[in-house]
Amino acid sequence: MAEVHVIGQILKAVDFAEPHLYCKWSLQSGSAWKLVQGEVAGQTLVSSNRLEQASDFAHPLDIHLATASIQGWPKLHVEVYAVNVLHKSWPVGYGFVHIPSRPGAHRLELLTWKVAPLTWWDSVREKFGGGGVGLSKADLIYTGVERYKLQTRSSGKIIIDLNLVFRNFAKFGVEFK
Amino acid sequence: MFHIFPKHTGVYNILDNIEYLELEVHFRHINSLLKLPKFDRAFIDVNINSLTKNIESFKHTEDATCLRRIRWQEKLLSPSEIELYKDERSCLTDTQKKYNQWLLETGVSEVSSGHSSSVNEVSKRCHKKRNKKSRKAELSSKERWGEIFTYVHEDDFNPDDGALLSNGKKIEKQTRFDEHVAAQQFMYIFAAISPDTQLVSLAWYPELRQLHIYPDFNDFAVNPYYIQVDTDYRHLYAFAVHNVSKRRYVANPTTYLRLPELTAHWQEERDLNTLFDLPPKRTTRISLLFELRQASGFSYDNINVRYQIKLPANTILEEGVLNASTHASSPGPANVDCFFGYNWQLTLLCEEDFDPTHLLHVYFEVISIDSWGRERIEGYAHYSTYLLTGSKSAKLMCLCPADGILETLTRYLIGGRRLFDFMSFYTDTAKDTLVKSRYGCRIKSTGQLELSCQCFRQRHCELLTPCTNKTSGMTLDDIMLAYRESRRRLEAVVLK
Repeated sequence: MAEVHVIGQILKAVDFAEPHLYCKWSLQSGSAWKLVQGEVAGQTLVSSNRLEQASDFAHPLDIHLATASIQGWPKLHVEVYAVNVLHKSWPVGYGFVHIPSRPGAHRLELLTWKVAPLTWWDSVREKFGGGGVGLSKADLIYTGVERYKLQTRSSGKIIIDLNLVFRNFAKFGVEFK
Repeated sequence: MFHIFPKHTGVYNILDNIEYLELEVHFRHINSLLKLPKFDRAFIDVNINSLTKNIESFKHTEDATCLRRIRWQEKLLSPSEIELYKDERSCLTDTQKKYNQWLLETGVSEVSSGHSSSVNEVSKRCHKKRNKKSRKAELSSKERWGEIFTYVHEDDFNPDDGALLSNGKKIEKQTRFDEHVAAQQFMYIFAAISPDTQLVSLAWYPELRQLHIYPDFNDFAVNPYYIQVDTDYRHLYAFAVHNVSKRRYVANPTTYLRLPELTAHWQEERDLNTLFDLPPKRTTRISLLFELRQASGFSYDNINVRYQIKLPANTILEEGVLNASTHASSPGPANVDCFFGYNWQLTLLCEEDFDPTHLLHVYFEVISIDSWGRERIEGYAHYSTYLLTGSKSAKLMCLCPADGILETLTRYLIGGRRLFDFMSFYTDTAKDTLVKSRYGCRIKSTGQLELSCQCFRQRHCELLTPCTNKTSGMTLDDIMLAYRESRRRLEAVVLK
């Protein structure tokens, strides 16, 4: 089996309108991929920054995967949540990105979106801190072919630093460059 | 007087086989700090008419030095062991019986105490054959009697606190704590003085490939180790241990300090086909990772992008979809771009006849949906790429047929989509002539899409697959194809 080491950190969230943020993340991959060591899901701390519109997470990632196929390349899936003073949280960003297919250091800029308010009441509730609309199922973020009925709004960006180590791919005839 | 050098443990990382370790123990009984002739009547009788009596006596005194070469796990019997093992009834274990057999074969039972005998592990195997060669080896080993004897791992020897030096305790303690180092081997070198005194203790950790020796190697002339034994009067001994192993060129050194292999079940399997999903013979698998990042510059919000992919000739879609649409996106409060962050993977199989100059085409159709559910065309874009490995990103300019006043009003008031064959517009080579003139075609640019694409491939090379039976399934065509493929890859590398 070939192996992939994903080492890095979820650095920060930028350009979000909400000040106090945290994010849940998970790694999704095909059935031929197995987790050897590490965690494939997690949640960062709640962070805010008074000086700039950014929330620093510096959340470490250290995942060791083994695969028997190049199909189902792993994707990093992120959900960003805002927290208010009443400790109520609601989703303000969904996004996913493929793990780069070249070993080495990478900086990923994950663009997120959130579900647009469907009714006038949803808009008012979102505007006054009552929480926005969320997805009922998390897999709707990265699955589906005809997704045009899902109406969204652009949200912020998540900056992710990754260092990738690939092993044994050349042995199985896989070329990345 | 003399200077006592501190003893310490030596730790050595050994790449070569431990069987080739050979030590030289230099042991000397220091009778006096002054070199005085030793009175020996028997020796004097032999040399009765010699004028050089004193000189010979001096030489005899110098001969108290014992120099012994010992290989790793070489057994040297002590005088007490010889006494014990020469009697068959006192031999209980297999090892003891083996020593007894060896003593019987070499005739060591006649040897008086005060000498030791050696058993060479290598020659022991030969004894079983009972040939002349082995007898010669036995005789040579018999000649190696002396004051030095060893306890090897096979003896299961546990030195008591009195006999064990401090390092021995350390090793024992370490053994208790380091349970993972389960396969260690020990060896002890003793001097047959009264009482038997341990000179050197060695521990070998095969998993770490480390040899621990206490005390460390030294030089007899520079920093010998001293032993002081107080019995009826004070005895002083000095000894040194040298490493005299022959330096060998290790063609394939043992994997030292490498990452350990995973102990998963799949690593026991050796067939590459079961380890990894290889593409079928004479095909290449190509995987494309697309990411449609964002759209900007469009006149309406709530836009979605519908894409269609046209594969090049002689390729087969293995996984993925060729037609799909993204979610609808609108600019947020903090930005003016429509974020999609939409990723998809496409896996293709390229057949043998695939021409790498053929392009893969992706057509984009940007559509907006208003609050009434009416769709409007925002633009068309096109992206083409060779199926070469690498990573690319592009900003695609979207085009749209320019509308007249009536069409503009219709688009604003009613919406809807006009029929426009944008795929032919971008890549219809059948209707192309020498001069491609689109003079009458009025097009306006609307916005842009940001796209990135990563491509990697997997070849099925015959050389990758271990062939257990070379005659199975290999035809001359297969060999020629493999040859052509190898040549092509070599040329690609050379010409790069």
